[in-house]
Amino acid sequence: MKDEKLKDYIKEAIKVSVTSLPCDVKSKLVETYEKEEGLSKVFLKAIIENVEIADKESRPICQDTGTFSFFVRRGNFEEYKIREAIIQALREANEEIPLRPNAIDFLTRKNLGGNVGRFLPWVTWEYPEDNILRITVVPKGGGSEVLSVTRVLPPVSQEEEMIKIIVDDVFEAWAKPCPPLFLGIGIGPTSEIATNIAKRALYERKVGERHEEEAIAILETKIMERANKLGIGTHGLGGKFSVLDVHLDYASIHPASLVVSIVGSCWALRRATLVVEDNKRAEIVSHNIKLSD
Amino acid sequence: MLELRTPLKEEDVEKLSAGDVVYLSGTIFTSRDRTQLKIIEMIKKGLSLPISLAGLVEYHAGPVIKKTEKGWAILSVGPTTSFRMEKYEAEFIELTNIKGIVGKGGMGKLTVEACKKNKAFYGIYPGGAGALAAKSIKQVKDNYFLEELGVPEAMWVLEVEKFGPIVVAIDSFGNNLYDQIKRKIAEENKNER
Repeated sequence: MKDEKLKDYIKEAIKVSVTSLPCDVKSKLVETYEKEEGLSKVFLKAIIENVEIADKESRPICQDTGTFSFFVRRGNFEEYKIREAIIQALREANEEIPLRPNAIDFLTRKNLGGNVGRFLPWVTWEYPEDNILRITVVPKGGGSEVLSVTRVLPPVSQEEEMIKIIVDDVFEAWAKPCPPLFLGIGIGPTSEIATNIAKRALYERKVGERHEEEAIAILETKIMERANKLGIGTHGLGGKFSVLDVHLDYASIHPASLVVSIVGSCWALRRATLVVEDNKRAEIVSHNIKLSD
Repeated sequence: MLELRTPLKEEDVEKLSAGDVVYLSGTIFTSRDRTQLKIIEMIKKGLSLPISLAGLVEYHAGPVIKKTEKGWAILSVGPTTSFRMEKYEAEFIELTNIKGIVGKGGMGKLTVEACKKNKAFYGIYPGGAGALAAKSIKQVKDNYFLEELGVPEAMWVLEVEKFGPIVVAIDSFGNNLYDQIKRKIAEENKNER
């Protein structure tokens, strides 16, 4: 496949990620709207209307088109070629969609005019043993980072202590991260491992899909029920739904540390997953969109 | 449901209570983080602002824009998290005499006090609903400080029609909707036990 083609596919995935919600997220919002009440329902109605306008007119769902992360399983493509294609696609998308220029230089605080900067976009590489290229594009809005917390606990800590940290965090953030939220929770021996696991759990699993191990699935449900008792509702207006899903995963821990990492997403859980099999198919599987050659 | 048109007067603001749903029409302007600091600094130095902000509504937002042959087009412009502006908002209200603020996520005690003292309100718009908000813009009237502050933090002056739903979160009588909701939930939870 030509490099140009790969760049165009990635650009399309970027566009889809900021203008259209994945099918599972959209259905979850509609389902929540039907069950919610009061002012939260008024706002959910506006939110769904917004998602429809964005989809139909290819406008960014949210003006904060985020910071871009890419999770890549590289198939039989070379790493530097994928990286080049991602950066080029992001530069072109910046003008064509357009995106909001969100990369700010840390030292001068000058807006760099785009979304490419020092270490940005952030790319996470994975190496499965097949020839299928899989790229998940994640535009993460600034507001939803208000919730992010990493806590180092003693390794003897019990379940209740962890649940309390998570629920208190959601309560403390209240309306700031744009609830109802989706939560990714990672547990591991170091902050970096726990946060990576939290991110992957949040973005790789479908809404409503429970962890394959029953004990973790039960814990996810427990956290969700406890968080929904907070009554935060949509944008803090009070309601039955504060958290729409919890995805938790874990790595083996260390004798001296158990790290819990919380990564939240606003109601607009934006992600698009592009799958490319050389000369066979190119598809944005998260949105059921087939791309032509 | 209420409808208001800017510039707002004190009596317009006094019609609003925490929890009301409002739709706004007229001129509003975007301002956030560094925009606010810039405007405060200009007023303190005795420099004149490009437009009078008295009676207008400040929108905590940074848009996605596109330059077209006809001028600037705003494609998406939902609110940003207002609490970051808490530190300077009271002074900003005082110095500019704006009558309303729209953002998301809520604001604190200093803003509640300033809204009471200066007869202003703070409303929330659904965060993330940027495309919907953009549809209510009839005209991008102007922009200021674009070169210096960049797109998100420039001041965009907009003509809007039925911009909403906005829920009044802080009214001019010292009420804060989020505090009321939190108190009510705490009360209910106490009764459950």
